[in-house]
Amino acid sequence: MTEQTAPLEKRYATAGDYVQLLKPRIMMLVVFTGAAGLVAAMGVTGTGINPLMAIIALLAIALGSGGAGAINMWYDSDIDAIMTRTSVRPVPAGLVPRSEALAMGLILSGVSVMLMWMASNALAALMLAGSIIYYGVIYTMWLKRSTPHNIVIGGGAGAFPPVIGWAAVSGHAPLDAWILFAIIFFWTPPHFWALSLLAHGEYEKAGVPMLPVTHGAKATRLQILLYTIVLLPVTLTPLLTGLGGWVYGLVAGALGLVFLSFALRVFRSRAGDEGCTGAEKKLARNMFLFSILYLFAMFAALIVEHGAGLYVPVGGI
Amino acid sequence: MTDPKAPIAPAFTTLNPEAEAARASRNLWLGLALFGFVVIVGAITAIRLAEAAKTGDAEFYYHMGDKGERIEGDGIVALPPGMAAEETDQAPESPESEVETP
Repeated sequence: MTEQTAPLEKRYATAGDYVQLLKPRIMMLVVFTGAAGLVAAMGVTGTGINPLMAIIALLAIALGSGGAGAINMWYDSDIDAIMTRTSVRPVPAGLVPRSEALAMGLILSGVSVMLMWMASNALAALMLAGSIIYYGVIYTMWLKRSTPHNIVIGGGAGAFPPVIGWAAVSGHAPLDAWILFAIIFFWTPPHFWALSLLAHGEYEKAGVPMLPVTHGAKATRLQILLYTIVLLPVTLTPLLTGLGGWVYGLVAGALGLVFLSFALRVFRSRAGDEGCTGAEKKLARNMFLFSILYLFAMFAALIVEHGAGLYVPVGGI
Repeated sequence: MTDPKAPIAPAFTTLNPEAEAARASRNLWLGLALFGFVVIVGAITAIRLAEAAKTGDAEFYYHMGDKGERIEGDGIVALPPGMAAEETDQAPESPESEVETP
């Protein structure tokens, strides 16, 4: 009998490392926006859903997001190893083999779609499958490494959850659901580009054609401002259709103005340029952090209005 | 030259205590995840059956004839959706029974 001793490593993979493959912070935002779509659909359409089925539908959205995240970590492990921010992820850190990340991604994706179908309906399950393919294949394997528009087009993947949540309740995806999609779609570029202004050197090193790498920081700051200007009226369209009431209107309006002021200040700054000051870097970082709060607050307002009975219509058409 | 019929000595890997603890922890979480999946599927099934019982959707299967037709107490035979009256021999064979398509 031959006996070998496993080589001593610095540490061994734990269950927590496998959880990190699922990108838990993105998952939380995805689940939250999905929940907002679900609750808004109940309030607007008057359709009910068994509470346990609603929780399982949200779990399916979470698992789908995690599965797509694991596929992303599998495919991007080469560029993740180059960038400092991502080099500590489980695959480039050598804790989880690439094959296991892929297997986990595929299994979770399949399970999530199946659970969604069982707990709700075929439309929600198909849209969940579509969003996983959108993120795991179209964005990760194609757009991310081939075009500076990667974030703009790829943002569609993260915009699906409220539509899926809506479809899980009602079996339909009406205009109101797509308005929620549009809010996230137009929010994603200024949100992500604010961060990429700080990390463009890393993306350049890894050969990822993010906008600050291909067009420079100045063009990126302009695009952040333009997308923010487009985003503001989009966030107010729920008031026109009756999806959002006074609470939503106040939150979206007030925080939208703060977000616009961030975009203006970033536009006027030299954030991302060679030799920009620490304060300018901090400004871009604060805009990135505020963007998360902004989206969270708007969707929380919808949940409060439709879930807690605080909906008071502004008018609408 | 080695004898091809000679038994092959298996190669065992002895894990050190840290590796063993990490593996045990991963196995525990994997087991819990599988158990959770079974519970979720069971819960969905139970809820679906309960909802179907409330709406009467499941009742069809408790009164089904050999051809999939619905048989009720008063002799009325209702066909399942998509089934034509000609497809069942209930109608011509039993003139007293009516055939209804839902």
